[in-house]
Amino acid sequence: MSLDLAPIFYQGLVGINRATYILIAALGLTLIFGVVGVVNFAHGSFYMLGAYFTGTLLWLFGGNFWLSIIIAPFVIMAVGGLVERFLLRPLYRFPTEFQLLLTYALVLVFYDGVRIIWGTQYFTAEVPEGLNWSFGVPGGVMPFYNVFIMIICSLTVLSLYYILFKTSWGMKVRVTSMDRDMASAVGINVKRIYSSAFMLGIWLAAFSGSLIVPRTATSPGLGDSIIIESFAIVVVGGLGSLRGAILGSMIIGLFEAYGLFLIPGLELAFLYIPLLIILIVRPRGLFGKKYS
Amino acid sequence: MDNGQEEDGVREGLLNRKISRRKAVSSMAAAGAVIGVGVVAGAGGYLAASSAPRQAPSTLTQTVTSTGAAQTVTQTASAPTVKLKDPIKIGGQAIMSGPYGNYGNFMLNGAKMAVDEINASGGILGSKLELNWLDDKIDPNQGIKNARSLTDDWGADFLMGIDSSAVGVAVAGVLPELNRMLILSHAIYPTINEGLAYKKGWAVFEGCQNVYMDGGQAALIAKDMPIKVWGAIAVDYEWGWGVWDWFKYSLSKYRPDVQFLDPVWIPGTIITDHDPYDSALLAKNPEGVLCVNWSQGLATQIKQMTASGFFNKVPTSQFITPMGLAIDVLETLGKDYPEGIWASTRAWFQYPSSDLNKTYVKNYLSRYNHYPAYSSTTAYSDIYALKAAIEKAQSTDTDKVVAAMKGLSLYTPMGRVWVRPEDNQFMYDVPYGQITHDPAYPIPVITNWKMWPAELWTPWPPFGQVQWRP
Repeated sequence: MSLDLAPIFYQGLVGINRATYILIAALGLTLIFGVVGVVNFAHGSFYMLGAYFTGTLLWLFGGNFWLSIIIAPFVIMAVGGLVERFLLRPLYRFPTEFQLLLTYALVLVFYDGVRIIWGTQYFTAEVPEGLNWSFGVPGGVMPFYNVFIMIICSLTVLSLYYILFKTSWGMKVRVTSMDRDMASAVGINVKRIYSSAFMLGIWLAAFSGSLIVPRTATSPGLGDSIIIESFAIVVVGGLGSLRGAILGSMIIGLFEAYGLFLIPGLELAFLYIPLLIILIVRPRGLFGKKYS
Repeated sequence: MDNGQEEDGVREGLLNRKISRRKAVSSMAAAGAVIGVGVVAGAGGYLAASSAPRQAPSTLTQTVTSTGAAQTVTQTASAPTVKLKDPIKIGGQAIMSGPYGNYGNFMLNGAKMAVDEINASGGILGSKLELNWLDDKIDPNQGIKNARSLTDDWGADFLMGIDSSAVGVAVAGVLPELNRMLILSHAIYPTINEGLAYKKGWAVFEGCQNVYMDGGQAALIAKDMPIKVWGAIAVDYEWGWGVWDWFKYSLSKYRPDVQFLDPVWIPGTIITDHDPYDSALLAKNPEGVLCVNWSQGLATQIKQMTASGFFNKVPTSQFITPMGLAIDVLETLGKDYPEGIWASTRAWFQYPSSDLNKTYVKNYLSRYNHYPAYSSTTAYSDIYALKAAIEKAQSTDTDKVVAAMKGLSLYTPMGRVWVRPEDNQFMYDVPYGQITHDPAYPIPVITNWKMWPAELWTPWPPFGQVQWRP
């Protein structure tokens, strides 16, 4: 009996694709923690807001996808900036639990805000012209929109690396993430770095939410769908590590896809198996910093 | 009213639709023949059901009640003879927030419309209705808190609503202590009607069709397909388990040659990427697929299945989804809904083609600018059922109304509804059909209607055909 490798290959492709969808949002989560030190429970809510605002812009711009996915993340980034300035900043001097409580409260506020502003009805959008075709691959069919997401995700990762490692702002961010007091002592405006890093993290969440609109029915619980996986990714990869987020997303995506394939019904366990192993063997994650 | 006339009335929708009487009768006859030949031992309940006529309450007279927005033909007492408490308070709850918040709002829409109509036409035996509606947040503890608050603080005489079976079971558990009855307008699972109502005698009513319709009628469609290997992709909680279990049980009786693959279970949370689940199912090479998903999850899944070429491997005509006709799914997918998919729901706005239903749909459209969702229609009908029971009991006393509700028979926009006295299950017929795009409607509708009487696909007391997973 010969083993048909095509479905195995296809499931792997689906898993990688799944990873790229979450990775952009996870990068934002890990950036915010790495620099600002905030475990942002509301990250999924900003993802959801990105999707909802994209829907509104699609309606305003007569379905112009490109304009909508460019503008929407910046609007939500501005919302993130206000949240950081007026809600989070006063809490930096308090224990971390206060920030956790605040971001959790934001989840509830955004939930109801979305319900009040947009209602409870779902919406979706058409995949834009030029991206709405599929092609055959061994074991199945690949929508080109998924390939587009992979390309966008790769470009986002490269851009983020460039910004963090090749610009003076990136250097300041890295210095601040290593030692806040020292950064302040050498003249870096830490408050501004915190604010801008938080806003960039929110932009990534909102951008990820914008990209999902043509693929899903957008509902008020959209953020719930990625927040657990995003946290799993950053825990596996190491909180605050971009390399870790990339590797973590691939591990989580592939474990989930092959878990479904091999042991249906235990796919959720498969999602948490790498998480458990990492927490036991290497609690700081694959690329995380050592905690003192 | 004799039963023959009643049955004609119930079938009226069939005759006026794209399925002829001959076809309908032959379909039912064929199904009956299959049952008669192949499933005598296992489906004793079926036989009893299909041969046992529905029982109309003998103590009632049929009256035509004209209300503000609808003409409701019900079987009620002819004239008020007692003065009831005023107002009569109905306490409702459902999911009003979060990802499934639209379902609670659907239900509330239907309930409000019924209350407004009844009040505009003079109330129930002269007493007005008052509605108070809370958010249960799909949380059993919240459901219990709401039920206590509605009863103890607000003074609700009757409880209704609820989307989740877990919340339904929890609230049903405090009914004896609250001394109230509960009509579930959406929450369904046989552990409620078979377990709580039938075995324990609790005052909980299933005011919405059950997994029996979703899985049983799907099996009646599947039995005629030349498919030997059935797969499933289903949500991993009570509803998904129940529909799959009943589908397997029912189809096995008609088609012992069919093989059932292990389902791919979808977590009960919001999933934005269904591809890993869909491809895992396709890797098993099913010839036909039962898809037990709902709401935005189903809309997302069908959208992604289309993009990923799922229906190239499993044709839409071999794909059955019991909640595919839910209004939110239809509105979300719109013209992208693939034609040919077999779909149903718990109340379909095109059935029956009675004046009562037409008026209801027209009024609902005019009031809410949407076609009615099934839970709008069940909630609307449940309040009219409650009205009929109060009128029959001439009282708002819980025990008297519960007794009056059992065996009640009335016409609603869903057609004829009969409250089965043993397990308090509302029995009514719902069609399945294949998705099509009709320019006369702004949403997808169905063609090639198939419908069998509820008695045929519903198990009967003493139950036990399937051991429902707790």
